Amino acid sequence: MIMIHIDENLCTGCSICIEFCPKRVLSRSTRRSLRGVYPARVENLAACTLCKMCELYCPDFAIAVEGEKE
Amino acid sequence: MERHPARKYFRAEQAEVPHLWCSGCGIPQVWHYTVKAIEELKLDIDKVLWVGGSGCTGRMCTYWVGDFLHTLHGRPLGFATGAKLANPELTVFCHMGDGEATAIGGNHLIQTARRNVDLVAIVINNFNYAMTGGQFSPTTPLGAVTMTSQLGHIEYPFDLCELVTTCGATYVARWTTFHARPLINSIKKGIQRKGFSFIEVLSQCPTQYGRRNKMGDGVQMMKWLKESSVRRENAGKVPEADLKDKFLIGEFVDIEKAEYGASLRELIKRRGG
Amino acid sequence: MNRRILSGTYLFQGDEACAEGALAAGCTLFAGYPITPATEISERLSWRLFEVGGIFVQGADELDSLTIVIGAACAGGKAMTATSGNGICLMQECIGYAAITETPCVIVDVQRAGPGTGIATSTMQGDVYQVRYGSNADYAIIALAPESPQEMFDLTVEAFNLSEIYRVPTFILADEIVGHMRERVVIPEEVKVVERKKPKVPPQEFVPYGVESDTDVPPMPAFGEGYRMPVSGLTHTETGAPSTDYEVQKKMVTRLWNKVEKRVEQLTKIESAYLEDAEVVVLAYGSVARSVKSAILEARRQGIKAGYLRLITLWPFPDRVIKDVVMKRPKAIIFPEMNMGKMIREVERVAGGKTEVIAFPKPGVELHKPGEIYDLIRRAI
Repeated sequence: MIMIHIDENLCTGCSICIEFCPKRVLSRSTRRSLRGVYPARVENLAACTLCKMCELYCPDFAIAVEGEKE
Repeated sequence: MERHPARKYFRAEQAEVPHLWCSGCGIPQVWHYTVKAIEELKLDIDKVLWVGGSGCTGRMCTYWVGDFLHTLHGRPLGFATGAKLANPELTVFCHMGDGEATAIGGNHLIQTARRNVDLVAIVINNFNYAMTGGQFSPTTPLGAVTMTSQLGHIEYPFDLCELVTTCGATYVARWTTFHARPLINSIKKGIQRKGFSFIEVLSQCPTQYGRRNKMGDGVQMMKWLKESSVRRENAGKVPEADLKDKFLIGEFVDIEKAEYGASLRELIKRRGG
Repeated sequence: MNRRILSGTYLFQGDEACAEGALAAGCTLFAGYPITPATEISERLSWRLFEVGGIFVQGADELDSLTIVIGAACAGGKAMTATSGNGICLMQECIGYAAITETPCVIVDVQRAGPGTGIATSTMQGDVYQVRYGSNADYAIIALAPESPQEMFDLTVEAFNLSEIYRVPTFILADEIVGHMRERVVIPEEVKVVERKKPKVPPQEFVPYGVESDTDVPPMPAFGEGYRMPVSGLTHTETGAPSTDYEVQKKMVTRLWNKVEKRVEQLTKIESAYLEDAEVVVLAYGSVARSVKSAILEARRQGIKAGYLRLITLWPFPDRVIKDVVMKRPKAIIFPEMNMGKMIREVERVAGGKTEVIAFPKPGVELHKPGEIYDLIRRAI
């Protein structure tokens, strides 16, 4: 059961997590957040392998991945 | 809502949410990598001191939850040396920008390396003075455009790793913000070894350097860092002509030498103090 | 030779006595750069400190030296540096930094002739304003002026104690004469040493720069003690957070100023004689006082009612002491200084035109001769 939390109060829409996810789990939201940017969103949770590169790279500390591989 | 794991090491009373760095900046990435190294080694937070100077990289220490010493531009290595000598049990980090470490702080850099002071010096090289609006620094490449080289830069840059190696540093490595895992490992090595551990991290600065030189956003610049890096072990496989536009990354020096504080304490023993 | 307090009687050079004063006061780290006429302080400490478990560092320059001193003090050490006027110039940014971070440290300035490189081996008293106002913006410091090798010892001990109490950079304003002359120095068996105040509450309850009033000095934990201290040169609130707010700036600067300036009564140290019936009062500080004393004795022998007042604490400037002199309405106040006339401006300010203030500037190299001062006294009567 894997969960990916994206805090829209912190995300500045830099897209680094989206770009460097090896499994294309994330994508850019089409809706602006309250900060006025297009934050990341979870597109394809099933593809996530818990590599946590998104969490490692996020400059805004906005994304957190938790869970265990089945 | 689950919080990013770095947040527990982040100072609450510093007002900005979560910090003052631009979207896509490499500095908070290195902040996280440093914190990961500390966590993975299970260090006692109360014994970890972050020292910084001025500028974007200089502000890193002010977000560290433990003791921090936010000092004068260019001079964190001097203050860090004093703190480490007064309390050798501290693990001391010195995060510095490229201009900070090599222009105004040049003398402190070469002296601290030469003395082999036991601390981890991380220079985040984003090729300009970012905080003040993007002026050139001693690592700005020839020809680059910055706010004070608007006609194209005419100075030659330092090769920081070569500079510090010449000064006698006992651990020298270069990575980029893209190479997170090897960088974290280098930081862990730096923490564990006794002596001056120098790590240069090439970083994107999309707001200043990147914008002036039309290098795109954080994503594009990180891709550029990835594509422009060549592991030093593989340098032989790259044609000479291509190499000059690449960054050599990896570990360059890893030797043992008497550490500054240890040698001074030896003198105490010798004089019966 | 492992005693910190080297009790006994010695023929010490002023610089040597200063070094011993530092050790007696509990100095744990010294960082300095060779510069005439202060080099001997570094040289003596370069072996004495190791004998008492301390550390000596030769900095790469004066500025490097003071950064190391401040870093060490923040990590719990008692640290000192020593230099001359040109070195103080280089240290100015750090001095302001020590002031805003409230870091205790002792800075010895063995003044020499200037400006610029000047004359390394000659005396002057030209830095008296530099140590007070040389860094950017507003802060307060304490400065003591010794007149003898004995006072180099005594006042260095005092400087360490004051810097720990008030958490300010504290200066010893010596000059080349006092630094290089040799005289009898008595080091006692015991020396009063003050330790900095530590927090009385655990880390969770501790407010880093929390105080009750605007003349207070907060307790100072060291790095590594679990207090997770935020130390920054930026204007900060009581919790150590940086701020761009006017009220925060005002509160912080006011307290940094008041904690010393409003304590001037406690901090004032003077030496005086024959003031009760004085018709002419001669002021002095540092080595000039030695000539003044001879001149006063000669004047009294000749029946002239001359009085003498030596300032030992130069900063904060002891307004009240000067006011007391002015109120007695002497015919004149004479103030010989080995500079173009600096501390005399403070005296003129306090005198407010009520008494004639006569300057006797000698901008370095040559100490005022007792005869020269005596002549001035005669003419003033």
